[in-house]
Amino acid sequence: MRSLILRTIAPIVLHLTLIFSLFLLLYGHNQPGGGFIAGLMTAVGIVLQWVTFDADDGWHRYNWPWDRIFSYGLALSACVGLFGLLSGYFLKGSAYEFNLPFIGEVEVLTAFFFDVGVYAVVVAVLLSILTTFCDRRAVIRGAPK
Amino acid sequence: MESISVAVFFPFAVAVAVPYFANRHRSIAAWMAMLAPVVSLWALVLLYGEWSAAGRGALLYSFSWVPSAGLDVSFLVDGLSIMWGFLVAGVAFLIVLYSNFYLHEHEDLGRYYGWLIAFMGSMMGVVFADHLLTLFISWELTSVTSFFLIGFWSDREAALYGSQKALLITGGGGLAMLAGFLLLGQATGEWHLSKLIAMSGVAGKVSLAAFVLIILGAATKSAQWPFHIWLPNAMEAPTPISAFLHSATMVKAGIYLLSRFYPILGEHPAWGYIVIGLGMTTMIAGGLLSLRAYDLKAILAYGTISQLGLIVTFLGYGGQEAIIGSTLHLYNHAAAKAAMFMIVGIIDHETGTRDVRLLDHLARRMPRAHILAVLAAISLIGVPPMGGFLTKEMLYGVSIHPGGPGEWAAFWPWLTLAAGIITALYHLRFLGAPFWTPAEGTSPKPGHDPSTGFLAAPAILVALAIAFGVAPGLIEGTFVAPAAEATLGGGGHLEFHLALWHGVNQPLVMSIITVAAAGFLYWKLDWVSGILDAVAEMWKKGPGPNKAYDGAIFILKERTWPLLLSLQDGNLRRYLRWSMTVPALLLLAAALWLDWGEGIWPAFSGATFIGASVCILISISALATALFPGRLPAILALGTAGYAIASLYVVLKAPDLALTQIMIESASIILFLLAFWFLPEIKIIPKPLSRRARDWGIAIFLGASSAAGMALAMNSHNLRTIADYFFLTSKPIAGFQNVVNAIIVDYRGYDTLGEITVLVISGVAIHAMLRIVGTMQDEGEGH
Repeated sequence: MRSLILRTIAPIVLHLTLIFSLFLLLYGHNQPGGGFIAGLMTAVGIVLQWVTFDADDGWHRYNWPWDRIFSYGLALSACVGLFGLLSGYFLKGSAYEFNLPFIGEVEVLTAFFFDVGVYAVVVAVLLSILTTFCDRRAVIRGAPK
Repeated sequence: MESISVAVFFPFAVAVAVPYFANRHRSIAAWMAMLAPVVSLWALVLLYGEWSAAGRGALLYSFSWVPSAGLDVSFLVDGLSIMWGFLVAGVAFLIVLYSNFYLHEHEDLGRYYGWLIAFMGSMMGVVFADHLLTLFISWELTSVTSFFLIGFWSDREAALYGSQKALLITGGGGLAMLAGFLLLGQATGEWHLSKLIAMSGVAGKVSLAAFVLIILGAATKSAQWPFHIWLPNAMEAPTPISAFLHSATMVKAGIYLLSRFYPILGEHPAWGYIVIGLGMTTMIAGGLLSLRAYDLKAILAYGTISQLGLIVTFLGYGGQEAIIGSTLHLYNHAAAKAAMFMIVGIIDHETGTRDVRLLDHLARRMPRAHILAVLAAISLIGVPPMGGFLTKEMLYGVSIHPGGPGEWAAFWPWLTLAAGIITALYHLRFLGAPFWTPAEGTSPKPGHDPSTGFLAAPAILVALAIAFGVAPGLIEGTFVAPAAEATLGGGGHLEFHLALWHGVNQPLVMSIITVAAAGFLYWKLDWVSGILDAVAEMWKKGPGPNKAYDGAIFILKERTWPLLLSLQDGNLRRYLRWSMTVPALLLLAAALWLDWGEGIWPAFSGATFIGASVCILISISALATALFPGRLPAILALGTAGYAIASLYVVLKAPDLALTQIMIESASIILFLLAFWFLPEIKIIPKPLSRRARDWGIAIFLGASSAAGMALAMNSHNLRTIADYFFLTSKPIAGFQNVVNAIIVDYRGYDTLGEITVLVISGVAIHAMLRIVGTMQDEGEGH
């Protein structure tokens, strides 16, 4: 797709979506949001960016080791579950309060890290599907004939 | 609590960690794997202390697992499980030591040690499990880990056949055992072994079916006839694995099960007949089959089958002396047989073959291995001063005064004597064929004694086999007596004294006859082999367990195609019809049967009007999706329907759902577009009116019944809302206010973890699938 408007807007939109998705992830506990939505938002933001390039070009830009990322995400969530075992049972959530300089009281929930794992899985699975698709496209088209 | 958890769970942690490090730092792989048995042994020593301090009864350690389902993980520590724990961890230690010398540098050490240690952990689970279901899970885990270990050299056809056979037979037996456990649990209302043992008269309450099913689990695992057929094929595993799983531990899990259930089911009228029958048949059949084998490992495998039959026979007889004998023989057999396997591994390693026809007078070239082999074998033949002599004497003593079924009492001593002679004979052949006699061919390498480190593990085992005979007091009071007490039901302390010399009595005479007869038959071995070959020739066309297994596998693999094709014909439309009609019928049934209550329909308002108009938009988009001729317009129409649903959520004040819907819709449109890129151009084939009518009918039916289901959910008084509960408790319980997210990550954390696991699996699956499609196309282009 070679639309000039899209190509001009896409980088700006990407930054906005990434910031908004982080906001969704961080604030998901008390306001609408959460790891799943934030993950989808990030993935769609990147995909939108991708669409503005050629598929192969996009593939070269975003051919990250997504398979590892989703594995680590799943491992993180599972570890949070195991962490719960220490205080009672699998997946038991707990809250810790820290007093950080300049920022003040910060409450950290173990559930947040679980959510981060969900976020990583959602982003990485979607983008790994996409990269494999585009990789195949590249193979099927073959080298420039 | 801590030491038992460490003993059981630490191996699993090591098993997960080893593959990660082993293939990067190959030199430390064995040392890392060694951690598991060493730490487990240390934990067991501590546990032994705790258990001794508590009076050597039955100790229970439990913590809840799924409290809502009444499941807990509980460990039963008594004489029997402590003894088994030491046996498993101790042999594991020696096996890892030996493997370090046996395996070649280029092997996949991570996979090898990972599965090996995972097996050790599962075995610890089997022996310490208190809950029947924990026992079952660990039991099947040993089958699964053994599957991967037998198939370790996965490029060998025979290894794959052997691992599949072992998994199907032992895993299938495990399922039978589960069925038996379920029947037992229902009959008694109790799921904990500790409570079942304490209960009286369980045997009277249990049906014959439950009894047979449980015995079936033990018989398949312990390779009892006719289920013994998997064990010789399992010899395709690397030799240390054969020594560990298929002689010292896994095949003995069946023995453990029988010992465990002896106080529970030993009173059952069928116990004596079935268990002695199994054991005696296996003992004689295994011995005769061993005489016909030429592969050293096969000779040992059939020998193991026969020895397992011996222990099962002991358990079948029952009574104090037999139980002590079976317990003691576990030690003797584990030590001697594992040592023999290790020596076979050394012979294989040094000469390049295990075929006895190619091995020529090895005693001259491998004197040290030869001495160890002789000592190990005469222990199982039952020659003093080895530990095996003690147990052989006990077996003969028990057979003269059996506690089992009385009417066959006159036959037992003769059958037992025959089995003893066969045992001695095949052990003589095990020694003679490679070590003493000339070869028919030549081995790939001449062979010589290996390094001392390679011999260390078998030497330790042989030393133990001697120690058990010379000084049985070492294990008598510490392990054997508590284990026998536990097997007998835990009541009272046993007073007995083991010694090699009991004076001249009937068992001693039988022992002398055994050795003399075996010596004579070994001298006339050609004559014995001639008879066996003639019998085998005659029976060549007759039925047999191997033929039954292969036949069953053939039927399962080849004859089931018509059934498979009729269910899974690959026709997407057909799958779609089924997956739409069935839920529609279920919803319809719910709508017809459930109480609709008074039917409180929401009052009409501005929101209802907007909602209704969005619904019309959704319907139009859905129709358009179905009716548009091209793919791209159809996808766009589908997207319109999705976004319209999102706006409906906005109207209904559900911002989370709206946001998610928009995101999912965007992502799926893009993925759809990508996926359709691969499909060929769409061709609209005009369908006959009848089929179109049917498809419309199904679609309308599903739509109508879904609508009915929704209306029911909104209005029925039977289905109370639980929303209030979440609104009230989300802050105090989960710690945050967003109820939707609280449900996702806290209340339903298990579900979410499961869902992201599914997501990861589907990601991997798509990756793999597209890769296969890609390579197929690449190959297609290449040709």
